[in-house]
Amino acid sequence: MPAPYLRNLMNPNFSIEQKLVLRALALGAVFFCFSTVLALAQRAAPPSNPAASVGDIAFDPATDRSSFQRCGEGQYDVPQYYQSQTAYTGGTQALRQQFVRAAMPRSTGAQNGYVTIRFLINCHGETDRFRVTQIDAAYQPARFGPALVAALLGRAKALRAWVPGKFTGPDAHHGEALDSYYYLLLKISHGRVVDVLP
Amino acid sequence: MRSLLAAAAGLLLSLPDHAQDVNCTIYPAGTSCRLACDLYQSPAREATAQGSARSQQYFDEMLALCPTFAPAWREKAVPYLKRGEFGTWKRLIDHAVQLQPAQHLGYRGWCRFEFLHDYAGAQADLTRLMALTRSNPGFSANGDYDLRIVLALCKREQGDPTGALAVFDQCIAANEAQQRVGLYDYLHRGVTRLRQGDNAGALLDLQRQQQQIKRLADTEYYLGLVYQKQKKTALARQRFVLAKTLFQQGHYRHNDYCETLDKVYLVDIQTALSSLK
Repeated sequence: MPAPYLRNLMNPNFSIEQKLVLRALALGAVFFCFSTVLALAQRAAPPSNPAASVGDIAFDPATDRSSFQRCGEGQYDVPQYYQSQTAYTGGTQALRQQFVRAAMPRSTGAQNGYVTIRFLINCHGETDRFRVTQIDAAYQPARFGPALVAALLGRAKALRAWVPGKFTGPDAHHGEALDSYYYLLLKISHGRVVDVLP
Repeated sequence: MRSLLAAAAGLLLSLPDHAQDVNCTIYPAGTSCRLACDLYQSPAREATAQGSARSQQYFDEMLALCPTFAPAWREKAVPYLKRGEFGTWKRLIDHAVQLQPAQHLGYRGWCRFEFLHDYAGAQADLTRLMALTRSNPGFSANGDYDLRIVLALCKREQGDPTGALAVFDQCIAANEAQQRVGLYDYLHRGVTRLRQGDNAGALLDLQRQQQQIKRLADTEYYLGLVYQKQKKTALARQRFVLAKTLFQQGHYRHNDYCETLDKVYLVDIQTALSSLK
């Protein structure tokens, strides 16, 4: 059955003027409802992604190993390295040996800036879900030479001396191993890796 | 047990990192910027975990109310900085700096120095801040450094030790006069002098550093290097042995986020010890 305003619009006893007024009112009502729904939708969906915290890495079957297991899947949100004392044996100095002192291809693309490799370390010190971002010295998106980026990613994936994060709370679980996020920041100057952080 | 661990970890991770305090009374009551500020200071917002979706949504809501509310730009940027998304961090923090340069240039410069070793960028920010603040730029976000010391380190790391020492000298002299020399100011100037071959100057600074912090492996290690250069092997060995002991006891500089400049590792101390004849 049609809605009342539609029945009125279809009533042959109304004059043309009355039908035009009713049609305008109906269109106004439809527009009001549409704009209200749109406004509510905008309020419900702000620019930030409501599904994830900043830096979360979802599993991607195209790039990630399905055999890699989180220890705390479904039990706790993955902390960041600085919240859980995640470390690499020998610290940044040891990482510098791997990335700065070792032979690496020279960038054929952008010459100055940063390559960031972010990834997940599980409670056993195993790594996966690597994600690479590249910015130039002005912090704008950039593309360094593919051979350099591939070499950096390969080297990051090959690192085996991770000390997994641990629970630092004050109770009986103090010191228990946790999954955590980490990133490696490679500083590029004149096409070469000159520093590594954090 | 697992669920207990999860609950405990959840409690730990839900603790918020403290955002910069803001005085909301500077915004007239009833204005949209006052509403944004009140939301920023609200217990509900403060209870959200930094970087969580809800926390970021709060900042979006503030900025929808008041796009010129700089603290929201700054705090929205923070998790991107800490989690390695530096392009996004820079885009967001730039809004805060553009709106309130005197309030946020020091923070941006410090972060570029600390998290990215972007010495040129940090120097540009701090130099601009010096001009805005009559050479009183304030302190680093972690409170450890007068930002003039950071500026000096930026100059040193870009190959300008002379310029660095000039800034060190000016800053340390000013702070000595007010008895507020920073925690590691003498250490960094001492290391800079050591690198420049000024062993006597380095020795003086490192001895002053010993008075600042009595037990610090870093100081003892660099003192050992000075004595080694001065061919005072016995003294050098004494310092390196003490440095090793202090290091093993946990008395060394450490930062949860990033490696600190002039950081000393145990392997450095061991290498120095084994290099002594």
